[in-house]
Amino acid sequence: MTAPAYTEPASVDDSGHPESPEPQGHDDHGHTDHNATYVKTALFLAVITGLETATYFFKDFPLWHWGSGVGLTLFLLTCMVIKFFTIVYVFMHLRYDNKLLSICFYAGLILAVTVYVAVLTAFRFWWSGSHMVQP
Amino acid sequence: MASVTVPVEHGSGEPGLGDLSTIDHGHETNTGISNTKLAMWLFLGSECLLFGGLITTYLIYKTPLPGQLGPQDGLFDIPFTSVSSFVLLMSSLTMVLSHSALEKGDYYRCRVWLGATALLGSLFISGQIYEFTAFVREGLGFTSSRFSSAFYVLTGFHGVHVTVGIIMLISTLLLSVRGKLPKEKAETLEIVGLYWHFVDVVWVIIFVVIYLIPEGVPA
Repeated sequence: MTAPAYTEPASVDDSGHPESPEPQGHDDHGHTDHNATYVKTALFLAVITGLETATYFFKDFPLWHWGSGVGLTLFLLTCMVIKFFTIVYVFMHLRYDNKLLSICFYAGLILAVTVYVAVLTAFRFWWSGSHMVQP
Repeated sequence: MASVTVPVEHGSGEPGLGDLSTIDHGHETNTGISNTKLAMWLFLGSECLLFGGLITTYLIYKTPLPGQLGPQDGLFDIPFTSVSSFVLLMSSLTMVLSHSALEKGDYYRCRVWLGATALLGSLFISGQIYEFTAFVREGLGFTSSRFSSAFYVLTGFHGVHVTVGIIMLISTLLLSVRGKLPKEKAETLEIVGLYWHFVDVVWVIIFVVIYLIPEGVPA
């Protein structure tokens, strides 16, 4: 068993707070402290999730019945898309990272959405009930 | 004592002397990004196709044949699933806080948040096992209907991804406890985090498309 390759800096006290003074909001690698942003983002996501769940409990809300129920579906899909991109941009750091990483991810995402929307359309998924091609 | 110094920094997109993200295990890369991170993003891009296929299959097969159980039979426990979704969502927060703590050299908090992430992930998986058990008790087996097959395959695949994520989290936590995850290797934790957040993002879609829109787009 070899000894650990490094020892933790003595500047970290029992509570985990660095004892040495550091510029607020940045560490020694120049990273911005995004902790406040992360917490606010999580709260925002929790609120959106709450709204999504609320649609289950308040089924008589007039907006949900718009377009024979299309209103509810559009609302839920909008919430979903907002949550998706919030996580990808903030938590996955795509907002702060190299553009090439965005290209890698969105290439896969756009290809997937295009292909599977085409498949669903081929199966007449967007049409109601009996109009859909039965597998 | 040889200390590992793998400089890692969020790429600014403009490689230069001050941009250490162009260095991968001591070598500069043509892309200006570390190869490991680029590979993880490419993998996540390909995962979009995997889950896209599973979600599409579910949407096509979700209408059960006559006499079979389906999503319209009130099988889904929305309040329970909402709590599960919230738990997974919060695990993404603890994950980024863990990474942030490591970047600052705050190893204690890094481990605490990492442990919390693994715990929340385990809680989510426990909820999924409970939900599956309840469905089976109600007569919705894996091969009961085309709806159930598509549902179990999709949510099961996601559950496997979460389980793999938990294993990665615990492994990373053990590395940290054994002193093998210095802040210079924060990118390792960031890559584990990317996978974890992706698993969360997939659940965001599953929660809406499967649980909250069970009837699909109405006429």
